[in-house]
Amino acid sequence: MRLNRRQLCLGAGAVAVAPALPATGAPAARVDIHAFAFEPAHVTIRAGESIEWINHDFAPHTATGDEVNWDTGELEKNDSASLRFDTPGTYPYFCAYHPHMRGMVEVIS
Amino acid sequence: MKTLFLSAAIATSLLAQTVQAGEKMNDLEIAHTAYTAGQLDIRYAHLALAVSENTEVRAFAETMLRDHAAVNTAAVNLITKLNVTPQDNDLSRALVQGAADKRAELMSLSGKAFDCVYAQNELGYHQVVNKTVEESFIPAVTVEPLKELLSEALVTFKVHEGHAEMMVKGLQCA
Ligand SMILES: [Cu+2]
Repeated sequence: MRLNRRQLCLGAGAVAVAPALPATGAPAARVDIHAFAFEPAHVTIRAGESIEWINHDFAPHTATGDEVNWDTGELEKNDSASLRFDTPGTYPYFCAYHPHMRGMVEVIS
Repeated sequence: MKTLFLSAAIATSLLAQTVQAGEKMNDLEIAHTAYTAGQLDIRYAHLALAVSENTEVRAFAETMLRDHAAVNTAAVNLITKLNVTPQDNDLSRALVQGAADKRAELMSLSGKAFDCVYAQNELGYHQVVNKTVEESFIPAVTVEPLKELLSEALVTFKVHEGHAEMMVKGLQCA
């Protein structure tokens, strides 16, 4: 018997489905990472829309959910990544490399 | 405690020397020293990753590797673009010698003693380098792209200084 993805996740117990998934197409919002800050620090989108993070610093950064269940991966200077959020809620996040850098994604229905 | 005073005294005298030297340096010497300072911090970080078992200290060292490598890559790209060769100088040599001495001290330590000396040194080192870059290098540099690079690098180094300060506090060394 083969397990589908959902069953696998349930079977693993602690592993939940990531609330943000890699996205293609035009993002609804853009967050610039500049001088070790997310700008704007708070963004609101509708469920199913995506956000693009662009790093303008020399230092590599990430946008990583507080529960470490979603992540842009490492963004070097001028790199960008888009993530789609399908479920309404608030998603606080930080930079995994510089944890004092904080931001918030709000997803409304 | 005595060691702490001693290293503070060394840092202060190095700082005086550093700031003074910076005033007479040309663009190519400044580029050399800024690059050297980054490379030395990368070497400290490699040592910390080899020795320390403290999660905070290791995370800090990883960040130093990543950030200083990124800044120095940008520096190499700029130097290549401008087609110039950075010049070794007294300040670069003093930094290299100072770091060699500090590494020798660190290599004789382990556990919390290592973590404390590493953390304290990272704080002092970033303080000295930042003060020099801000008050001496940036005002002295004449090539605009180099001034921009140093200014942007300074943003990174100041974050490191703040991070080092928290690390020192967190370790409760005194
Ligand atoms: Cu960061």
